[in-house]
Amino acid sequence: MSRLLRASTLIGQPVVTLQGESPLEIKDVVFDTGEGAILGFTLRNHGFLGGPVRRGLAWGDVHGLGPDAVVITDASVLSTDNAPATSGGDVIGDRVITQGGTDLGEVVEVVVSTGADADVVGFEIKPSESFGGRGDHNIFIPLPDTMAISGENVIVPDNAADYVRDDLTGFGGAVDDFRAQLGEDS
Amino acid sequence: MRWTAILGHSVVDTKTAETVGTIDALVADPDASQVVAFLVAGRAVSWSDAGGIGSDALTLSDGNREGDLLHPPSSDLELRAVAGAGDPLGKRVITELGHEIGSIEDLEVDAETGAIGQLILADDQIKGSRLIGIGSFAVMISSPSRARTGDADGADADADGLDSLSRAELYELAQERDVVGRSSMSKEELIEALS
Repeated sequence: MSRLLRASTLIGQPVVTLQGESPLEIKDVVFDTGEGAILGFTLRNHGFLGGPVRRGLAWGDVHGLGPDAVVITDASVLSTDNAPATSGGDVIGDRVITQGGTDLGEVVEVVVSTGADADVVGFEIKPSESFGGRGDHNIFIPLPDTMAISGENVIVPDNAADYVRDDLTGFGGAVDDFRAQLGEDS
Repeated sequence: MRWTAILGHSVVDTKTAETVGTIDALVADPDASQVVAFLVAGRAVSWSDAGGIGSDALTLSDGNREGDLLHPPSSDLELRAVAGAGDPLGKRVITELGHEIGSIEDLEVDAETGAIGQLILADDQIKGSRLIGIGSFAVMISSPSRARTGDADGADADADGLDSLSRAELYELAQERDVVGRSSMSKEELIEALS
């Protein structure tokens, strides 16, 4: 498992070409609420007052996703044609519910793996009281490759609760173990 | 020879013994990891025409007339250098996987061939062959995993390949894979953890 990041930390990161130019920066992360995947990014000009632009970056055009930059092969992939629809909705605030019907908590952050094959691997959630919630202490829950997501709820397998971690350190291993477990079951 | 030491070299026409200018900028081709030309007083001279650089001066010689060797900047790389876009000094260094690992302090350039042997950072050296791009925002380098295996994921490379990497490169790989405790590991421990 590669290094993990909270998706919101990508906001403001430079989009850098392999030629070393940075035409724009990340304005927002666009999720596909149907698939639980990241569709891509909306973009803005550099700087605090940088205005939004119509051009977007599709997830499939990302060459490398790291903690310091989103790398693309060249600026031609930044086109209005590729702009992800911003009406895709937001998983932040969704309830995470197991297939068995337990409410685990509320999504506060999306966790992505970095590198050349970046992926949504988990959620940071504010745990429900029934799931040991103590108010201010968030937990991390791994996600399967595909899951059902609506504008209100995310459905996860029952055993996802067994792979919860308190922080991002070691969470990558928990995701790997969880997904390996799912693979054996199916 | 260091990139910064080449800057400011006198350019001397050996036929007339006149100094025709000083080297104002170097023109690098990142794809080839090679210095390909110099800018001298608004004009360009290609490395192949100059035939290497001396320790104190760039000499234009062997019957070549100055007027033939110094040409108006014409190639894309030369024009970028005129605009200041191709200068790597001081630029941040970013890997193709989005890790910023420092900034360029200098470059080691082979005085005969112009090959860029090393990128020199404050506390690290990176093989010149990993150079991908020199832009106005950053100097881009390939990931050590890709540079070694030549394929997209590189995660299954064998331990033999790891042995050939420096500790700094191994540390970069450990960052990519989020190896716990990497900062206190020796080179051998990093190889063990990455194998």
